[in-house]
Amino acid sequence: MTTMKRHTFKQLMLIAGITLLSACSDWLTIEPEGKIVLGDYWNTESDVEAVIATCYRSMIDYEYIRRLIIWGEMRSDNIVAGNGIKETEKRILEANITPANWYSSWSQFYTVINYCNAVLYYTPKVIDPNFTEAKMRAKMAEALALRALTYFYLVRTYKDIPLILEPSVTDQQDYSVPQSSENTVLDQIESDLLKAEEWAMTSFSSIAHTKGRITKNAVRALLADVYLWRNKYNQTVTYCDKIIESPAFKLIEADETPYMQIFSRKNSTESIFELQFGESFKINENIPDLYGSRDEPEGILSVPQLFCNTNTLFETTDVRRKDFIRDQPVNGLYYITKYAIDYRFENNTGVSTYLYRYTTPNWIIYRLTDVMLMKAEALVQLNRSEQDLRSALQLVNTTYMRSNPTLLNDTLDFETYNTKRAMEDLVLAERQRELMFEGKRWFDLVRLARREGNTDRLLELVLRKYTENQSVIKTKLKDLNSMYMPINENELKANKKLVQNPFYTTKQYN
Amino acid sequence: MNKLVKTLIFLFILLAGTFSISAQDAGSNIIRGIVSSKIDGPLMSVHVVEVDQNKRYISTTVTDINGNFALKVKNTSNKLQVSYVGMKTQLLTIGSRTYFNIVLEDATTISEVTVRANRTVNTGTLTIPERERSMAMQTISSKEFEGLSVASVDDALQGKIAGLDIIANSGDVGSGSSMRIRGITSINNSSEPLIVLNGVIYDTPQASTFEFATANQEQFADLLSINVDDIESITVLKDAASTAMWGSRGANGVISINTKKGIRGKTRVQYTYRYSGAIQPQGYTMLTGDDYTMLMKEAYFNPRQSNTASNIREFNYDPSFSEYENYNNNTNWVKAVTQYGQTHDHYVQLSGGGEKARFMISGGYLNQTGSVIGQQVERFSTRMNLDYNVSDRIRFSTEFSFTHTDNNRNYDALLPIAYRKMPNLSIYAQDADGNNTDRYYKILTSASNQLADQKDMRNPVASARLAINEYKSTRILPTFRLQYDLLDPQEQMLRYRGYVSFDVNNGNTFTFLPKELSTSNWLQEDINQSSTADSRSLSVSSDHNLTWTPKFTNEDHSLMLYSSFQFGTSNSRSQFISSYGTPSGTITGSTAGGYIKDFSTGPGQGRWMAYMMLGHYAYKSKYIADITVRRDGSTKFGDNRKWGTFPGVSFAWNIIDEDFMEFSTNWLSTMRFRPSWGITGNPPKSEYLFYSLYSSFGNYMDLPAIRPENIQLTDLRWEKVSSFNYGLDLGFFDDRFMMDFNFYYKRTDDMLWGGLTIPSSAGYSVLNYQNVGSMDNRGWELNLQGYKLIKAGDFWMDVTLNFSNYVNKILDIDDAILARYNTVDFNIRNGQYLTRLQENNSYGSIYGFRYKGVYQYSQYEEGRPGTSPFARDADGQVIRDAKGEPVRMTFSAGTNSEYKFKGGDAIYEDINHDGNINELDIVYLGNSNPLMNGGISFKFNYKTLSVNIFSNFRIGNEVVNMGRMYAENMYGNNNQAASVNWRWRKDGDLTHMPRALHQSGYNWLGSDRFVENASFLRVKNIQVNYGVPSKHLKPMKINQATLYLTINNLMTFTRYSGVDPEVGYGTFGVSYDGNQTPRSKSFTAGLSVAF
Repeated sequence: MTTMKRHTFKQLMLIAGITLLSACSDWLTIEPEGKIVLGDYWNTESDVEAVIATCYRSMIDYEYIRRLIIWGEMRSDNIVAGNGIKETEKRILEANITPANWYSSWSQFYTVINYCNAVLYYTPKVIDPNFTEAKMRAKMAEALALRALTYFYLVRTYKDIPLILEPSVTDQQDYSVPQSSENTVLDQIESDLLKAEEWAMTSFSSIAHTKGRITKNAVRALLADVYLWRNKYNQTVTYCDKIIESPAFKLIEADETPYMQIFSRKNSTESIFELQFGESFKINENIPDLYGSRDEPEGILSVPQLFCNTNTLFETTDVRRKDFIRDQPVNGLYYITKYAIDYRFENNTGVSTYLYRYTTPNWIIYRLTDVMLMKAEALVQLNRSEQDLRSALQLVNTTYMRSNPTLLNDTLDFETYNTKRAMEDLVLAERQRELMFEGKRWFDLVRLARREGNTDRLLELVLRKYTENQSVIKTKLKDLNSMYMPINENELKANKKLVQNPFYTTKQYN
Repeated sequence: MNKLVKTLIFLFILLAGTFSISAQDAGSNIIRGIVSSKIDGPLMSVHVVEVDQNKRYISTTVTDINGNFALKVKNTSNKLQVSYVGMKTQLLTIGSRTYFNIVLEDATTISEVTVRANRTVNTGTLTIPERERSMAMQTISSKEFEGLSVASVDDALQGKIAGLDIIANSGDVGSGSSMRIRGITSINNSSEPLIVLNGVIYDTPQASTFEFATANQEQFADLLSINVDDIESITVLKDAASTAMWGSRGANGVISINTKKGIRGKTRVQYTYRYSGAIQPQGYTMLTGDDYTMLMKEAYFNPRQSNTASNIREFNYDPSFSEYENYNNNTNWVKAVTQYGQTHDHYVQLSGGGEKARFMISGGYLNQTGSVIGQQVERFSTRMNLDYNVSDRIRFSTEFSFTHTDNNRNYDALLPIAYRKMPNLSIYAQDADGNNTDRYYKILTSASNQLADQKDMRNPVASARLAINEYKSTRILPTFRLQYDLLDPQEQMLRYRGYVSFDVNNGNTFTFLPKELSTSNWLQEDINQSSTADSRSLSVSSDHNLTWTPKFTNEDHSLMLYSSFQFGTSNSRSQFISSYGTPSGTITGSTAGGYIKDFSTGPGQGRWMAYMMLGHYAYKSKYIADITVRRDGSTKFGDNRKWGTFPGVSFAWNIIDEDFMEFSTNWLSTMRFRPSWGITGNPPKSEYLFYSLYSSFGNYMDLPAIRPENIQLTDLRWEKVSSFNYGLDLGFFDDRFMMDFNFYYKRTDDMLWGGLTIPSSAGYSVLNYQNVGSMDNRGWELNLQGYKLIKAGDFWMDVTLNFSNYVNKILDIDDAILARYNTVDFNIRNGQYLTRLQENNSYGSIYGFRYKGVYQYSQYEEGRPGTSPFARDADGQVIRDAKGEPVRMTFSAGTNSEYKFKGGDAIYEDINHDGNINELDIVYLGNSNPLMNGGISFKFNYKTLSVNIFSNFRIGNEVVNMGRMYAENMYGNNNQAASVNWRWRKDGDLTHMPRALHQSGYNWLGSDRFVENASFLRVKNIQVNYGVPSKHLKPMKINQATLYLTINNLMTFTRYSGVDPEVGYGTFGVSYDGNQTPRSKSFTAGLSVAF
């Protein structure tokens, strides 16, 4: 080979080499198709909007709604076992919850919290000329309120929980976060909500958005609920009044088919905040599964007999007794019909036909009667004068009379309920009747027990549904800590800083 | 495709082009002549070629029928080359001559030649003399598995290589196997070795986000798409010095496969046909329907002592029950799902070629039906290897392979169902008279609630016949190679070699579950459920390297240098769609209407590149040193961690060449010491891990949602394995008896852990990967080979033995992982063993209770022999309470699961004599790591008849026999092994089989009752091979004919009671035998003919 040739060859190699080397680092960097990397995100208003949509989207997740029902209803006197109940669910009914129980997992709730944290962290950093201060605050109000709502469910279910306000982004962060006390969490919820009330939208362009997203009124309803939980009754009344007096809401009258308006048609005038479901984006699978469906009217959950064929709770005249529960038992079981049916048709001999729904139902978080009865409960607790009790009775009467249209107006007469205790029982019972199966009852009962400092009255009510093993359950639920769920064993393994609810660490519940 | 690849291909072509342009014209002349041979006279079709000084062909012609030729010569200073098959090639100077009378000589009539062949070995980059090998590697040639009924490479390798442990995932047709070279270097990342085919990485790129939804799908063996008949040799690279050249991919060892190439000479046609028959070996004998119902009634009665509890109409044999006829049978489900499996395997190979070109073309067709019904694999494969010599210095080669596999699998794992399904049930629905109808029977939804689990278990026969689960794959691998000697190889070699290789892989999985099989009429998604998963991928890889072998005037020195630049890219895309409620069972497509249940797609993309330098130096072929450095870059890592450097150094010392060894020359032929060291890597499987990604997440109302989907891994690194290897090779009596011994020590750092659980309060529950700790592996391998160990006349015998073992130890590991897997309070449940992950311990240890039989009596009676459930102190005296009553043995006293033992319950040793069986009574029961494993092969030869007996073995490993546990626990509704007929039934029964307790009691806690020693010696195959002597073949114009018969898996010597002692490793190294399909017994008869 000549020197000339060798030279050419060297040059060729050199050129090839340089081309390759300089191309290397670029060449070894690829970004995934169909996904966006963090560095390229958070630039526009629509980026923020899309993650807020994710917050809502992850709240209509199966596991989230499932827990709203199981946590809020299962342990209360509303529920007994239906058809095809699983072992884990049965254990909850038997007050035999262990840290291994799947329903003690909170992961879906923290998933929502993390999305909200991301919105709250990155939204102020978005630089978009169209994204005004007001728009930005409105978006943040939604994330603040959704995070507060989720934390509120957690704090009511577990008591002390990790309070995380930063998004999880890299593996360099410390994820072993210890629990914060109940009060710290509630304080955070309160201050977030006060900010959200100021920043939130009053309404959106469509009814579905106004009902399906966080508005000022949704924040107020939530605040009222939080204040009630914290026994801050004056504030409860204030915030309830803001909603009750708002022209945005109107109670559906007895002759306007309330069940159909509220539960079948969705987004009624009475609705404040309800999670939206739709065939095109997400089916609410929990309703057919837990409450029943056209194909299988027997759900996993059922109702204790005493609410159905006795007047223990519902008067015979109460339409809710037939609207919410199928009035004829099948194989000894009464089916839950709330949410599951489209409407009920009653012939002139009083026999009801239940028409199950074709479409998927929403899940209501707050509606007007709930707020009215919250106010009633707060008034009873305030009990500053007889007037408070009278006002409470009036509120109860509003919902009660709507559902007992055949009764005379003074059926609930003040003389019968003129003590604080009697009125308290009445409000509690009316809340149970009105909000049955809406994920409220257990929290109502726990609120009562917390107020009392013991579980005696709670037990009295809950034990009604048990036909056997009453004494065992009574012993177990004696402890106030037993009102809360255990922290899931997998969480305890993954995070050494968590402290289990003492009720579940005694050898007995290992 | 990306720009760089295009550029390189262009360069490649350009490079090739420049060579052809340089041909020069220097006037032309016509020459004539005649070619003949002394014996045959004038020769027709002789190649007459004008070649230049580089031996490049300038012009060419062939002689006519009379041996005449005429050729227009471009340059008279060129030479004339005359060649003919079987004759010696002549090279003549042209000059001014115009007529040539050429007489060719027979190539075989060479007067005297001394051939000195050096056995060489290809390290994957360089071809070096075997005696200069300094790395730990082992090669087996195709001779060793010729004629065996092996469907794939892993089957062929099993037990043949010291330190390579292969466990078939199951005996199901077409299922893959897991391979471990020198143990496990990673706990929760891939431990599979890298497969290299003809120098090109052979793997299936996986789309990062995609998982096929069918859960019971066995990992399909990639290797199945390489036809074993095409393989020339397989080399297993074991130490880091040898695998360092694969850098970041080499940590788990490398299996390098080379395929056959064309052989110069007359075209040779070879045809092979093999027929195999296989049967399922006998598993556990299960209960008959009658025995089963009797057991079930007892099991329901015992815990509650109530007749109502055991009054289940399906067990009552009550003719008034509407389904009576369907529940009064004695069905042997296992028999119903097994069959005689057959394999037909055809293979044709053509090879040949001449001076310029060589070729090898092959085609194979395999059709295999499993020994379990409803399984069938069809594979069509073809391969073409072409080599074309442009000149002495330039060679093009191309390889092309195509494989199409069609695997009809079972929708459900049938054997496990067959072992569990209630035997009183009928296969077909029966009419009122008990006659079978043509409808498969399924348990009605209205059946007793207690039978829920049996309801969910599909009728296995119906599942095999009606449900569809097929996997089709097509893989095309074209490779183009160029080799160019930049200098005259006679002087010194400077050789460029390069290739571009493509790998096109398409896979399709289709499943269909007809409504006849759905066990519930309410779960709608079960009805006519269908799913289609498609994946396709294209990988391109290219390597450009230079080898330089300088000539030294002092011939004591020899040096080879090699440098290479490689890069690769892969793109894949997958789609999954599943739907249900298609209008009829005959319209099975996922898009044929019905409701869409799930739809997903997953794109995947990845790139890598590497530079490598390698040197081999030998002094007098006595002192040898090899050095490798590879620098690897990959898109899998973030900017700060993109590149990794992987060095390797190895030495060899041929001690035998030293003067002081002269005394041994008579008997010792090889003695070599080989120390080596190197670092290799192991990357995570997924791409994009270092990004925080935002992806679409459906809608909320009309609002499109986008969510952050992962936690960004900012500091993810390669898993690094550094290893030392010390090897000693000994050869005796002219290497007739050879031994090589390797001791190694491997250290894994930055061990990758996939799917690390984190507190879900983070909003995510796992970190995709994390570098979590380090681990040690040390072990040894011994390989013994005796060629013609015994020789008497035409008879001789070869023996090959290999032994190996390793021990691993976790050095340190992230606390989060330890916490995750070592719970402080072990939750004692039936069927669970305590396992621990401990620093400075090897894993795979099993802890549990000691099983001591069954309590004979329920009550204690002073002086009565026999066992009763009462606590005893260390001296064997019954413990009494304050009232003087004996204290009853209790399980987990004071907890929710407290249980008082009764007669017929299992006795667990009360280690601390406190009358309470709890976690304090758990002891060490054994370890799943074998003490040794290996293979033994004997080969007897007599003339052309040979008999090869190959066995493999494993010693000293403990296996948890879950299969037996579930077949003897009498806890659920599943059918049980016939051994439970020995169960305790009434007070005083003396037996080792506890009583039946449906869903209660603690009779099957993790105890040594189910931990068994799984040592075994398996006669894996016996092969008889007979080559028909050529004198019988000549008249039939056949060159070669071989007949063979192989018996696979003839017998297994083991004390293990399960169906198959060869059990894979489970989580944390503990082997759980879940009663998978055992390896079938089979025979193969074959015929191979070559023309």
